[in-house]
Amino acid sequence: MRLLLKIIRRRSIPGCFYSTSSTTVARSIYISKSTDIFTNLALEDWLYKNFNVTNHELLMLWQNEPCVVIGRHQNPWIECNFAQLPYIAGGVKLARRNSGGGTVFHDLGNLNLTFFTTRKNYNRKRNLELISRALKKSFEVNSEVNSREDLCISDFKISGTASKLGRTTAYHHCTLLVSADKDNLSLALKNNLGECTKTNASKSVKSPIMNLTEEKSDITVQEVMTAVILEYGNTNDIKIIESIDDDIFPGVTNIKNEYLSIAWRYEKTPKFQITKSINFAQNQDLVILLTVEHGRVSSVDLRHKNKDLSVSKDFSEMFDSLIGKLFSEEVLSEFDMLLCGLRNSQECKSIVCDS
Amino acid sequence: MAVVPRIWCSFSKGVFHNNQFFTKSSNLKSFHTSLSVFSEKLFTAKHEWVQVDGKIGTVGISDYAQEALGDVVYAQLPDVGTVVKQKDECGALESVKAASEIYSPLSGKVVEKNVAVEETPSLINSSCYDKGWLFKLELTNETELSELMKEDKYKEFLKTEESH
Repeated sequence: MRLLLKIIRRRSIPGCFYSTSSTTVARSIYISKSTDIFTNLALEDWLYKNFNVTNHELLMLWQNEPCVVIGRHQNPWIECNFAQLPYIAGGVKLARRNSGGGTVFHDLGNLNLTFFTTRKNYNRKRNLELISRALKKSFEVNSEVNSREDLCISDFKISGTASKLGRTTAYHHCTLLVSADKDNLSLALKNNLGECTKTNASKSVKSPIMNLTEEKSDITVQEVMTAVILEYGNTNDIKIIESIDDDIFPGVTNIKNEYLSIAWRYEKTPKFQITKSINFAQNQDLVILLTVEHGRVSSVDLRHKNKDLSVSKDFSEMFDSLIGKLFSEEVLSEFDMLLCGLRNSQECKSIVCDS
Repeated sequence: MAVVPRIWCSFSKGVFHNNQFFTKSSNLKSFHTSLSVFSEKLFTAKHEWVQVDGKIGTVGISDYAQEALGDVVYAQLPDVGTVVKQKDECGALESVKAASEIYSPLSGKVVEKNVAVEETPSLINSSCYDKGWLFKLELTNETELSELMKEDKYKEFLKTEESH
């Protein structure tokens, strides 16, 4: 395989290897020049599958144009401001990553770090402490790893962590907020749909966040990158990856297309159910349930006093028209319209009155 | 076909310690039933277990594995009909922000997945050998069973793992 990687720096640091109990472990750093989330996730996955981490650990540093990245088992429609994403910061992309954990926002004020190790050497705390040491040494910034294994300054998160564990290889990746646009971040992650949604999907734990620049105003992402490289150190192998294509990383395009696919981003969403109710007089609630499986509407049901109700042909046709559709803002509006129609219909009133 | 050793019930904790057990005829009856139903659990080096009954193998993760994972918050199990080879990735368990891949300990076709675990993933933590099973496979290569460890051998293996 041709690895046309440009080596930016060759530094002969004494002891360019470190030792674990009995073996010597080499370390490399790859810096991606791509700022496209799907390309970077594909590179990360390619390295996870192809880079031999036995006695050779790897750190990937990467950044993205504005995007929201949800965890592997999350629901994009309840984790972010789904309908507004195209209008925030000139267009925020939505991606699903392969690791667990909650939803994060990236922009060029944020640095991502992926630590690849063997499953045995996987250690999130060690990695985060490395970052913390780097921040202390280079900028005199005090940060600490909290009980959820996130990096914090006081009670504010500056970094979010997630990981993926395979049979032999694992990675831990984290964000590091240097000078991200907090207004865009808040706007992109705003969501109300979760309140009326029932799901088993893992939900994000919302935490107050801050940028490193709030602690020390002149810090740049480039400087943070240098600080981390120095602390990870012990390596004479630092590569800037200019182009991420099949010539250098065979199969990476397929992985990227997978990350871009509707199937991965939306249809992988765990089953969920949206419940809305029509309130008639005397607490006579008529409940309408929209069930979404594999990202598509699988059923629309009407319930009264916990019993399923059948509806007239007109309504059942309207219900059926939603089935099979990929869940979206439009589906939600259609659902709301259906709700209005039901609320005003004589049929519904008679259902409630009869029962 | 590989001979699957059938012992009484390797994980039925109280059964052998309960002295009254042998004196009660009603219990004796249930004891005979379990004799014909359960085979021994076999383990992989990656902490999965499988219990074979005829051609069907029930798969789960070991106590060691569930403890290492921490609280499981989401279980993504293989769909019925999925054909898997031994050591194929076939799902994932999410705990403390980590997605851990599930690997199939044997080759076969998935005939059932544990819907209860999908609904309540914490069953994996509270009952990894019983209610927390993950999926059932119709085995296609029973010779693979010989690669797995019996419980006592697995316990020995754990000791060597921990000492590293």
